[in-house]
Amino acid sequence: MSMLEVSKLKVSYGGINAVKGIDLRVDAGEMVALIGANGAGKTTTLKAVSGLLQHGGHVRYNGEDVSRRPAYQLVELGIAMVPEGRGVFGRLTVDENLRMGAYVINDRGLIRGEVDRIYHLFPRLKERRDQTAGTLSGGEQQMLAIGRALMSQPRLLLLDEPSMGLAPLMVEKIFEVVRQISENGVTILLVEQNARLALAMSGRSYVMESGTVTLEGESASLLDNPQVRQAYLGE
Amino acid sequence: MDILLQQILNGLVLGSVYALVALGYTMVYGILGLINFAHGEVVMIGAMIALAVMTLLTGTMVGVPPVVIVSLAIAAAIAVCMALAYAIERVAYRPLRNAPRLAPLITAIGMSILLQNVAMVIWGRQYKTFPQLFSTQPHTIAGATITDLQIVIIVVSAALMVGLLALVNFTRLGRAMRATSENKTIAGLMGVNVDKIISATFVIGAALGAVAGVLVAANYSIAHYSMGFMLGLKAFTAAVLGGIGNLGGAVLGGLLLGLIESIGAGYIGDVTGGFLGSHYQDVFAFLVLILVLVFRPTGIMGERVAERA
Repeated sequence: MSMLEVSKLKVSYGGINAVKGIDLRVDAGEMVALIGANGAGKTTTLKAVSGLLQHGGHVRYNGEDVSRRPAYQLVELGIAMVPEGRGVFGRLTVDENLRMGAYVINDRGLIRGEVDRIYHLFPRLKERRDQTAGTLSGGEQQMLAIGRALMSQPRLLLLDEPSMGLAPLMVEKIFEVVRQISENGVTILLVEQNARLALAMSGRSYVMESGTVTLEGESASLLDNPQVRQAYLGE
Repeated sequence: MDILLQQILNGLVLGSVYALVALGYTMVYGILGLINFAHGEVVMIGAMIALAVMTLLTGTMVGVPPVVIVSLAIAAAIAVCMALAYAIERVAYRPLRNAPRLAPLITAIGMSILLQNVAMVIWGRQYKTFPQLFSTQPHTIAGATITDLQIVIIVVSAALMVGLLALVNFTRLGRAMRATSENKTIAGLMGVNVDKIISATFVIGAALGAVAGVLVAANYSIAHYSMGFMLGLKAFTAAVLGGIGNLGGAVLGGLLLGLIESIGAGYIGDVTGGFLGSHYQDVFAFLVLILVLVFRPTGIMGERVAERA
């Protein structure tokens, strides 16, 4: 049984069919990438999975149909999302943002431990713990968004375009942490426009094009796929 | 000089009540971007419920100390107002959560009129005498006088405001309220049930409003079904003056407005050579509202209006 199983997922808004009935699965412990051009429906898919968008078809998490559940209930089940554009609470401090991430956790001692763990993972955040998140740089905000998502101790982490708008050095740093998170056993579904990076990081990948999945398979073999090389790796 | 000090004291008493009510407006605005015009009526119903409970208990429970009766009355007022605000949000505003902004605003005005009329049917059109809760024996401070009741108003209001600020700034619920006011979608991704947080916001504002209603009715010894209207408008003005959406701003705006009104009413006679009297007090609040809206629509401490408009 897969941890996440999406079948015949359909999303439309404003008369546009953004996602046209796709299937995908993520097994426990895997890192799976969803790549494709702008507007292919990657982010929409992720939003539907996380409960932010109404959709047709089914989303199953550990065998349970969670299609009709709102986002806030999925957090308790162990799904956390790092939204596109980071979505930190700009008027809250770094520390408060992290504590918001642990909203569903009631054990104060556990929360304190998690905050320390995140500060260990991202020492930069520790230096800025009492600053409001709005004053952070883009890269720091991305660190905060990832750290905040980890605070709920997710089993499945949905990452939406973590490299977006960041300097190459910062992208490297962020993905180094993503790799660590994956190695710690967190299952990851990664949406990324930077196909080369996503394919290098992940075990399996899906390629989306105008609302459908056109290719899927081992990331390593997709990296060698001439179609992929031409369309997404600019070769 | 005595007059000035006296007017400052009166202004602080008045301003404390404005601030309490203004917090209810500003909390809801901060989280929903909605001016809840029915809030003034919730305040009125708080006063009416307290009055009804006091009347009932003094009639039936002879020999019970007045403090107990007053406490029970205030507790009842708070409970009813919380339930009422919960119901208003659930029935009138939640179905319009994603409607254009004008729809909930007009609904709020409709709700205000509805509540006034319901109150009129239940409690009648006549002014009702609100019992003396405390001795009216005035204390003299440097030539100005202040009664026990006025001291209680200032102290209770200050305590509630400090309590609210602590709740919003230092608790899990408060953090969730601030997060929700900033971005409901992202708050949902953190596991926050946004509907519950919005309900909590209404309910907490109503509790403060209920206390304010009892205090203001006690201060004037009068309760009336329309008392929430003007009080609501003044408190709204206070919230705008301080910067709507900003809790500290509501407190500051309330106190300032109370002082402006009180000092204005105290001196308007002298300044105009007796042509205008202190019954022009209400003019000042709305003059302030107009001036703020023209020259600094974000209020003293606010930035959010510009951000959200």
